[in-house]
Amino acid sequence: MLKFLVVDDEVDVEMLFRQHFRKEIRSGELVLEFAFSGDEALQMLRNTDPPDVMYIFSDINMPGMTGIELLERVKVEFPSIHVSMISAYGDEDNMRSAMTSGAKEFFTKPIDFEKLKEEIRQFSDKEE
Amino acid sequence: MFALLLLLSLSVPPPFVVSDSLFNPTTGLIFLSARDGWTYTPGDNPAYAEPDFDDSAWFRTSPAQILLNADAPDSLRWSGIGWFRFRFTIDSTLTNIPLMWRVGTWGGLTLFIDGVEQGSWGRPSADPDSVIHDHPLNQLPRPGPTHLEVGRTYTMAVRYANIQEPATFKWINSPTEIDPLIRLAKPQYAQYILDISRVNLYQNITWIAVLSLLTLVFLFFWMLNRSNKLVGSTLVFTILLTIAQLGNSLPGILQLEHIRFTLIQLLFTFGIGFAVPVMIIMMHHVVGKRPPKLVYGLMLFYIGLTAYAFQTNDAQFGLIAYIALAGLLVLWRVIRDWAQIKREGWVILVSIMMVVASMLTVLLAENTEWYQQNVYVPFTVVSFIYLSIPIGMLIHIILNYTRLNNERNQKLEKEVAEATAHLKQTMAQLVQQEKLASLGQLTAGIAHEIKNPLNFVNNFASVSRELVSEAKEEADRLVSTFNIQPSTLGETLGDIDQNLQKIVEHGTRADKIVKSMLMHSRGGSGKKEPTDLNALLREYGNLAFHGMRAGKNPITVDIRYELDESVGKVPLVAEDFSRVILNLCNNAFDALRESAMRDVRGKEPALSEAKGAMSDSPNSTFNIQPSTLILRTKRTPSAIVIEVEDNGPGIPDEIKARILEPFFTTKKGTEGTGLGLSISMDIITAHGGSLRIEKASPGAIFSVCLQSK
Repeated sequence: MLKFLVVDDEVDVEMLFRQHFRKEIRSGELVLEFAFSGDEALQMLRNTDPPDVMYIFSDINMPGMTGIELLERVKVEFPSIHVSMISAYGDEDNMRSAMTSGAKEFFTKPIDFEKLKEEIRQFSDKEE
Repeated sequence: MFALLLLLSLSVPPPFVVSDSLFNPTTGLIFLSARDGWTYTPGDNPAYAEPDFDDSAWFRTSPAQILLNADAPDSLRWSGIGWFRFRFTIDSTLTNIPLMWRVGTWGGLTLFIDGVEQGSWGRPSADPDSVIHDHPLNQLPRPGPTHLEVGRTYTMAVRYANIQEPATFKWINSPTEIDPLIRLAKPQYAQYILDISRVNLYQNITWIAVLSLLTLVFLFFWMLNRSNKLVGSTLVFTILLTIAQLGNSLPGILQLEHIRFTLIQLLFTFGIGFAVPVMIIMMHHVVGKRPPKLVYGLMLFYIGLTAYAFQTNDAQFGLIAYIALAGLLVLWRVIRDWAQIKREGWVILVSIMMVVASMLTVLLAENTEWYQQNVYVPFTVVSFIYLSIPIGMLIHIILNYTRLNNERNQKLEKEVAEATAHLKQTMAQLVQQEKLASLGQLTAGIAHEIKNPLNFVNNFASVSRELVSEAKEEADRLVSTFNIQPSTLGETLGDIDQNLQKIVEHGTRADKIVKSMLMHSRGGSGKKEPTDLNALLREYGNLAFHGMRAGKNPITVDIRYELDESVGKVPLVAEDFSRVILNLCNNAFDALRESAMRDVRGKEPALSEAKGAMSDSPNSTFNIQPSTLILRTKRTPSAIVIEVEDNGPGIPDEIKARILEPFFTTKKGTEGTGLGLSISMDIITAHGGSLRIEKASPGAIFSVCLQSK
């Protein structure tokens, strides 16, 4: 069982993800957790030791802690967790800073769920 | 002739009756030497003074006639000294009036009445070297024959010796010099001559001062602008007149003896004489022509005329001809170059004509009573000669200055107006750029805010479609498993699926609009940099072409470049301007696609169905006329023109008016955003340019005009 954490300030993201990955969730291949800010995400990671989340998908543009900041702190505190960024800003600056901070992938909004599923599939194949 | 005169001389003539009415009323003078009744003999004998002396054998003529008469028989020819006799009587009108003598001569003269010496002016002598010369401008009268008895005949005898130098002989002995030789004066003459000499002195000094001052004034003007030939010739004119005036007045003021008198008088002769051709030169400068060589000829003619006058004492006709000819030459120039003469030029013409007329007046009327009756007549005429041209020239300078000033002001006003217009245009451009920039920020903000919810709409819609299809499968399975009669459930689910499809479709369309708005707002530095326009056009023309080929519904288009190499580098915001090129090219491709469709389907352009039709029939093969896109640059004197021409269906007039409105599009469904031309227009305006849509046959030309200044 793989546990993913999706961080986005938009609450509807949870519904969207849950609907898109309903089969995987139903079959138990996948567990999705949601946090609506960077702080909440860090809090959730610290709840279990070692953290059971293996992969974080985070929005960049959020109130409070940005996705990039979250990425940097996760990389320090929990270096084993993979982080990919999802952002509407498909521009060079965000992508570069995300990549130098250790992001695994960079997805642009609107989210291409096929690509996301593909990424998750590859990740779970590697884990098993 | 001479014999007849001799015959007449045999009879003794009656004495000349001196009457009050014969005196000039203004001067109070009578010119005795000009009257008939004189007898003359050459030689010298004191007895000639006696009243009883028998002079019946003498030659009967006035002094002037004999002194000049070269044809006289040798016995009577003037030899340096001679006697004149004249018999006169006074009538009652002169009772008790004390008369005076007024003698004017360069020679020496002694006057006798009835053998009694009345006085000497200079001293006559038979030996030319011993003659003491008087000066004709010794204008003071001497007491004359008082207590003359009315009706009694008096005999006047004059012993006269004159100057014999050939250079001055003719001139000094001319009638105008000899006629005033012996004059009788009434008492009023004393006051008259006092007044007149004072007036003359003042006049002469005033003229010298005025002319010198004018010379200085024009010297000053000429120094300010040495290239002004008209001012230069006016300066020459005033210098010549000053010289003439000096020549005219110095001998009288300084009481020079005759040789110097003559030489100084030459100054007058040439000063006034050479001033005449200067007027011709002036008129030529007025019309901007080079003065003719004829002017020098005229000067030579004048020198000859002066020499001739010395010999003959009669150059009046020559002088009149000389001045009249100069006047005619001036008029000839006026007739030839009528159109070139400006308002101030006519002032000069009038001045010249006033001088010519005044000079001719002096020559023709100098010896008339009209001229001499009043000192103000000659004064006025001389004033015209001296002052017309300097005053005319001053008016000319003022008018010229005013005109140039007006022209300069008008030019300045025009420049200010132009600069203001330019400023306004630049301001409008800046405002447009600012608007564009803030609009860009605004749209970026809005677009970004809209983009997120839009993503949700699209994502939820598409995931819902999956859910609906799952629901449908499940319903179908339930139907088949439980064998339930088909209900409206499947139909309803189908409708929901269709609706969701519509939501996705329109959501995608909205997303496209938002994207293009974002693209527009992202504009680069906004700084204009010199850009190779032709290269830019080639690059983006090709990009648009390949974009079209790679996109949906590709068509075959012949793309041609007609680029004017003289266009060179143009200040552009390349990132913005490239979008204009892309937009115009894409529009042209759309138009060509439409016209290709029309060719396929006949007369009816069915845009809404274009998609369907395009996808399965590559239209180019049906194209009657090859689709062509021409990208053209041109340089005009004031602007650079970029033209994008297609041979598509052209733009109907009713659409033309709306084509630049934002969100206006002819492309139905999800094809266009309606922002392309509007954004292009904004960018062109921000470049200070204009966009024009013209008709080509067939097709349309989008013409971008950038001011090249």
